[in-house]
Amino acid sequence: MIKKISHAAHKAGIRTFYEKDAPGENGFPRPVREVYMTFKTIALLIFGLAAALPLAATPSVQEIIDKIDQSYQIKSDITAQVKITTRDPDLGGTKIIEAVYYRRDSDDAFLIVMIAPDTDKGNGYLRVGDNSWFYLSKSRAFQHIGRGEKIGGSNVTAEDVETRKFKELYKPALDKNGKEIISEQMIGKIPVYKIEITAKVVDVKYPRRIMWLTRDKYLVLKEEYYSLSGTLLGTGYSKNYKEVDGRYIPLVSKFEDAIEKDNVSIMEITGISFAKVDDFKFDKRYLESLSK
Amino acid sequence: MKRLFILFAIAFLIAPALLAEDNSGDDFFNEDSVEAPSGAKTTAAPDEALDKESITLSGEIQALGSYTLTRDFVFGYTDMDDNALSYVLSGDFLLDARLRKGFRAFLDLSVGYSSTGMPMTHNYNVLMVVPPGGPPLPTPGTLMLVSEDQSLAIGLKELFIDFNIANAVYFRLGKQVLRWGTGYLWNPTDLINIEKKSFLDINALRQGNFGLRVDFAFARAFHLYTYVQLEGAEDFSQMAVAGKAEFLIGQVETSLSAWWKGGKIPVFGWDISAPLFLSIDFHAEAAVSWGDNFDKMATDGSISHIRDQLVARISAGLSRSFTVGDIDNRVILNTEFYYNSSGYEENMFDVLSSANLITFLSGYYRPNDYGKYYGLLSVTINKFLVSQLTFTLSGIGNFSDMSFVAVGDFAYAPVYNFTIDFKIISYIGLNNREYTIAPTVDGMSSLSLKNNMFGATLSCSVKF
Repeated sequence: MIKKISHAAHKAGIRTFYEKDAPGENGFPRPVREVYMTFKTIALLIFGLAAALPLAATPSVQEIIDKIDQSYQIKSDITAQVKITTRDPDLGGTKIIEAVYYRRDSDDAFLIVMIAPDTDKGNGYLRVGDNSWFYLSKSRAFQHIGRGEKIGGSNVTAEDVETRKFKELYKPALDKNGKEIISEQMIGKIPVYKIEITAKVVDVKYPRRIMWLTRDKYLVLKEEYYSLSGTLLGTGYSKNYKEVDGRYIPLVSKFEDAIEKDNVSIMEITGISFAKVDDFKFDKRYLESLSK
Repeated sequence: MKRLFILFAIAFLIAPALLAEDNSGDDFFNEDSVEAPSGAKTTAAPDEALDKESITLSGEIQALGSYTLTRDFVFGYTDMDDNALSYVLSGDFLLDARLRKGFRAFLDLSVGYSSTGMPMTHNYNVLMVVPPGGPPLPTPGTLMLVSEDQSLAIGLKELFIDFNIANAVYFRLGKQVLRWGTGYLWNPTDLINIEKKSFLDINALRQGNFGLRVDFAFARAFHLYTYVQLEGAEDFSQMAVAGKAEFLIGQVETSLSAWWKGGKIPVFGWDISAPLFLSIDFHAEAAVSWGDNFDKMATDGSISHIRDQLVARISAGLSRSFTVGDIDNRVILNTEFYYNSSGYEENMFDVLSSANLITFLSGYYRPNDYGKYYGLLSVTINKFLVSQLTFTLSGIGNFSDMSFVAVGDFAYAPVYNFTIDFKIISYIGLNNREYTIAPTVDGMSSLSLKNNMFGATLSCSVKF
């Protein structure tokens, strides 16, 4: 077989095993050595690619969703001061909102209260288990609200800072062939996975999301948010993840509104603590006491 | 061999790139920005802003002008003198002085100015009379009610002090407005607040009343609120006491309340708020008593006390927000119904004599609580046409006398904390009904009755 190939190659002008040349290494004539070298090189390239393939082998989207829950569910309590800078050219420029939030994932408790500017001071949002209230300091009224309520007119909602339960809310999106949509990409020099997920439940702010996560720790760096109709609603970015007992929380997040162009909100955690939060802080009366 | 190794390494390194698609990303990131350095932003007390001494001055200043057209003018029976023009500058100045651990004082000072004067009434006790020779005067010791037009009015809406014990028992002492009940406009269980909500500005700051509020936060699922009303009380028998026990059961929040005052009929209340299906929020409130603390006037002008019968006042409502055009909460719908079993079935504005009508208006008429059946509907559209514009179409109706008010409200905010508000108001129904009649009492003996057709208000407000 090799002889036939060599003969055909020779006729084509390719040097083969049977050309008589000076002997080379391993006792083979030079042409054989050259072919051997060529095959060997090709084999090594293929092997090299094959060896690299297991590292590029992607997890399933469902595995990534599970990992996100694990990464974001913080075991300890969190107290944080945040600054939300909202730029809305239609409203004359920039508004800076400062707030304090308390979060305890173990019993799904969350409180955020605005401390600046003075016009919004005292407004807050409280969530305990399945119950959520928005508190308006002017009317001193508590209202049951959904997840989509915006904080102080920014594009940041409580859903953005409280516990995410991706497993309960989202599932992998499937392409036309019924396969999960996942690919490998780069954001700058950072290798990421790009995945698509869709909502399992009705009560979510974004029915469909495309996410870019780091490949090592599944930290979400970029997200595109879509409506049910497929309209891009906005793009979110997160960076400066702080590690706490193997869990991660982003210190800086940015949201660009796709419906209202040039409307951008940046949320920065300006101070954070993981000390235990007193139970009374996740109570309506405490929130009311912080108000006007 | 070395060459082989290099080739192998190249293959190993380029494999991911060959399999990956390059994403140019965003300049928000750089290779050092994924994880923060250890200890970044960690502080001992990031919430210290909530527990530090501070003084905050905030509030709102508003300039408002309104013009109301009467029916007689619209139909050509009278001239423009029949219409009403008014303009008012008003402001609420809020001072919040905070100490540590939740100790604080709060003040709401209201100021109003009108160049045409605002009618103010005063109660005077006659102490002495001028010697004979002058006009007839009341005798000493009689009560005299005087009305005057005042350009400048300064008032204290609220002034109170807050403190607490271990964030478990909260105290508020002073002149204060309470949020009592779940109703949007109608709060039948609220027998405490002096000033009721206004349909035209439901969230307006209201006049408080003097008392002591004590709240017990036993658990997230159970709170006890108590209030001792001291407004106008010169001894213990004139104080009123109210209490409310609030429970959280699953996603349902409900409470039982009671109100009592010496010489008055006790009133018992219940309210509930809960999310329903299809993201609809439900609220309801009811107050019942055996007899009524509000006396009624009969058509002949006589006063009757409602006793020995069940009196119930019930409100119930629904609210929902809708995503429209991919914008969350773009449309908000509120609706509420109110039933007052002790409401008037007769049209008192038609049947009473002028003198009796004056007495009725000054002592027995309560706005939005006069008839038996009421309803309210409000639709708010945010980002209406442009992102800074909010349009609200609302209406309130008295189904007992079939009179209604419909309001179209355009609120435009060109910059943060500044709003220009334009309202068009339509008064619908027959003449001399609750929402069409515009009685004007001049002094205490002269009453003129007009019926409104349309109105418009234009206001600018600044929040600070």
